[in-house]
Amino acid sequence: MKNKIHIVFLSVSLTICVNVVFAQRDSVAKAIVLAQDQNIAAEVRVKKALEIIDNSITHAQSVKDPFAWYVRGYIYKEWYKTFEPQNKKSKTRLEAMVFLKKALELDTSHGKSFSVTSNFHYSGQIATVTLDFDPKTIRQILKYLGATFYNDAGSLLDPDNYPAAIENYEKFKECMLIAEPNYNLKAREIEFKNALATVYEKIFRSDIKMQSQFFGMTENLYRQVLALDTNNWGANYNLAMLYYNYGVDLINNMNVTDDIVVVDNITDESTALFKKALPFALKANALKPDRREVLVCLMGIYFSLYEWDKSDEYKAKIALLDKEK
Amino acid sequence: MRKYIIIAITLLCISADWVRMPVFQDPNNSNSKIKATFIYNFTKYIDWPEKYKEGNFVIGVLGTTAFYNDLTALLTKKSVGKQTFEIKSYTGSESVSGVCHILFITAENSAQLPDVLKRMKGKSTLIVTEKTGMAKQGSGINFVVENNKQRFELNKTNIEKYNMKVSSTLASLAIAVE
Repeated sequence: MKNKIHIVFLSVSLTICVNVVFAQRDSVAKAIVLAQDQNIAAEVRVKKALEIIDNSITHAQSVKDPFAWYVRGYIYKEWYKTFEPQNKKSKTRLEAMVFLKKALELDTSHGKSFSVTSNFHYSGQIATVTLDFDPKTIRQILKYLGATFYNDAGSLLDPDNYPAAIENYEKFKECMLIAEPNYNLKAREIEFKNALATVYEKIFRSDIKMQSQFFGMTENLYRQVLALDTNNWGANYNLAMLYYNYGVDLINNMNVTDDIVVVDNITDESTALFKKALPFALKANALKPDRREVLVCLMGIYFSLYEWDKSDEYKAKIALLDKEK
Repeated sequence: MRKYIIIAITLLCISADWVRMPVFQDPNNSNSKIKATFIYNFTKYIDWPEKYKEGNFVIGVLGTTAFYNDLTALLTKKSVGKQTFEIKSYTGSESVSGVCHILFITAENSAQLPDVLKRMKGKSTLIVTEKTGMAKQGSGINFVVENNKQRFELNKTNIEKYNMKVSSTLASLAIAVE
């Protein structure tokens, strides 16, 4: 009995405040009902829902309401999905992420879901709607957004767009870590860094003098991958090829009329690069002994180091492999 | 109207197949290029007698080798002073005749060195070889590999006795052989 009185007292004291919140919640609920109304064309319902939620969020009560941010994030995600799925630099998608993050930050339910019932005029009737606030759903939406960021990062991986790819990849990480703070990024880190390194290498090789900074950037990325996984075949092979090709490039770009002192320095540098390439090529070969490209790489490295016997050994292995195929 | 709203989420698969394979650079030409560049530099750091400073600057290659083609491609239209390079191919020591400023003897033809030395006696021809021990057997310069790097031995006596002078810069980069 004592408990009951206490609850009534609380209810009375909070009536005015709660009513205002509920009024705002009604428009929030209306926005989401509208956003999901299959009787209305997607373009129309998402636009209207976005207008309602944007208006609603300007009210002081909504600003602190996790539910309002949740719905806003959801509707922005729907906007992105409806109008901008091909826009790899979509501002709306970024905003969706920010709003969902805010919803989680404002949520005081400690990860528990709760329901909200709202009444409002909809299609000429009084609609009574029960909405679930479920942090798990928010995390799912964030993962969805994260996946779109990741896939877009991949499609932007080329010499012209790689900065946008990096931005998308960073947003992917942000989304995933908000959605799941213990999310294991290792596999994605390896995948993305390996791929980005090949872009950097392409830029470097387009002009090894003017784009020389990309050599170090490529090397750094492969070494980061190997720090995560020493047995990563791609990073081992690609790093070996990076060093080896650069060594050959230095010689090929040498002018036959270059002074002998310059030539001596170049051969010093290229020899050092061939020596650096060797352990990574050997590792790649140990990991996948039948990969022809690694055998070719080893043949080239030993040839460039003037170790003819070993170069011929790999040449024979390539011939044997070709014969077997 | 009473409705229970469940926010539907479309799951999206992460897909990635982004890694591009690097293109292998053929090392064969690079070895030729290093040797050709060294040979070009020998013409700068070795001084021939006055009477050799007229006409074409002749570089002979003894033995059938791809190096002849590489050298021709790299030095055609280049010159040393007023002398234009002329690259000649010799099949054997007996075919070497006339003025030849530099004679490169391939490793496979090293056995012909003694005969070449007899035939070139009294001529200012720089003999360049590429086999271990040749600098001690009469060649002026012998290409060798040391610590996985292309280097060259220089036998100053074998050069200067044919009235050619070796600059100190060239000597400092060479492995001296007596």
